[in-house]
Amino acid sequence: MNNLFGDKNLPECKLISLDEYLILKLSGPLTKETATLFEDEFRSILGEPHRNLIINMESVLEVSKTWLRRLVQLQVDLRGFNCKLQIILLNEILVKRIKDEGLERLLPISKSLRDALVDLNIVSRKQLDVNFVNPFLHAIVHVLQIEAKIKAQPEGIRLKTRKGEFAGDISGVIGIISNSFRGMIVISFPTQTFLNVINKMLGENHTELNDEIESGAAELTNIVLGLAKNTLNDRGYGIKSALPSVVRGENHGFSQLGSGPTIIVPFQTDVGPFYAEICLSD
Amino acid sequence: MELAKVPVLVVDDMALSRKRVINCLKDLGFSDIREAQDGDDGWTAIVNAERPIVLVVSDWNMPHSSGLELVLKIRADEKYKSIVFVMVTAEGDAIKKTDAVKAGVNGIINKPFDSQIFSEKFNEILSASKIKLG
Repeated sequence: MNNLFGDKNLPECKLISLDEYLILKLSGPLTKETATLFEDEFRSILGEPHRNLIINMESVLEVSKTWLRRLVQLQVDLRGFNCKLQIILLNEILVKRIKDEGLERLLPISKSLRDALVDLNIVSRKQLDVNFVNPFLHAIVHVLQIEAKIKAQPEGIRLKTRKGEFAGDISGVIGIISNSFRGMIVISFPTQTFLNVINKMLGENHTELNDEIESGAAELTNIVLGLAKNTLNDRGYGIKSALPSVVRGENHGFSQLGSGPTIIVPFQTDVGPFYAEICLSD
Repeated sequence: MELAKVPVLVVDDMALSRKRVINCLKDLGFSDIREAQDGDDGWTAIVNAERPIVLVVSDWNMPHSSGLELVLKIRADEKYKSIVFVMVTAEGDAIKKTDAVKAGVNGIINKPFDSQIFSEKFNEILSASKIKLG
């Protein structure tokens, strides 16, 4: 990630480079004077392997006509490379402004990053973008390393095809809530793996589940969502906070409601296996 | 007052989370530690404490009453406004962190942490706030 403007009197800009697309996060008032900086700075960046560009304007309060013209020119330039520009998270006043100026076809707006990825044909509605999933997987690995000194290794991402394919005895469950989609993340453990994790977290030697340590399943899932949310919201997913729950029951699984995609990621550790499940429903 | 005698309140809706924080505080030398399950419970514990609470370490997102609501209550009360308040949270939202600072938290420790990280962050917060406990 690069912060291209260092001066606090200028709008802020951050460029996030991902495999299939770029995210440009703009914030502050986009005045006539700063449009020149855009011209000089971003054309050089957009000279790298050509990719679709998503501009996150959640923190933009006003946009000058000069900026709008620059964005239109950028769209034209990108289309010359068979790429496109899509704007996300624009406030209602600016959405209306773009429509009033007759620019909605040249500056298409999506309500969320996920919608933009679908609109740009980068993912289908039924797919989960790997860039959405990876922050969760990194968070799981990081949380277990820090909190329990356990090294967790993900063993591939697979699409869930049926209930019961993976089952656990104790699970942390937390909702993924944003303005444009809903979802859920589950981290599910066999009893012994869970006890081993908790014992390492607390430096104790529990041999069976109880109310106190069960809450650890929810807590781990909560911290994972918190960490992943930081990365994902920086890109424009707009995920909100939620309260986690614990599900306990021998060999339980989860049925998915809705038609969105669900992925399963099994993990191996030196204290036993567990799995994570991430699903979305629009 | 030695650290072992400093009255501390740990607030979190999850029992395991409270235990983790308590273990970290014990590693720092605290031993007079009480617990509460949410902001309302925490306020009751503060008001009813036989020995005045000096330090509160609280989670942010809790059912019924949040850590933010608790710190606002503490800072609004003449009797309790000087309590040292440390927020412990998985919440990384910059706007919410700004809300916490505006509400008067002395510092924020992000989850995940281990005992060493907690200790370092805790001491940084006290140093930055020029607070000496114990």
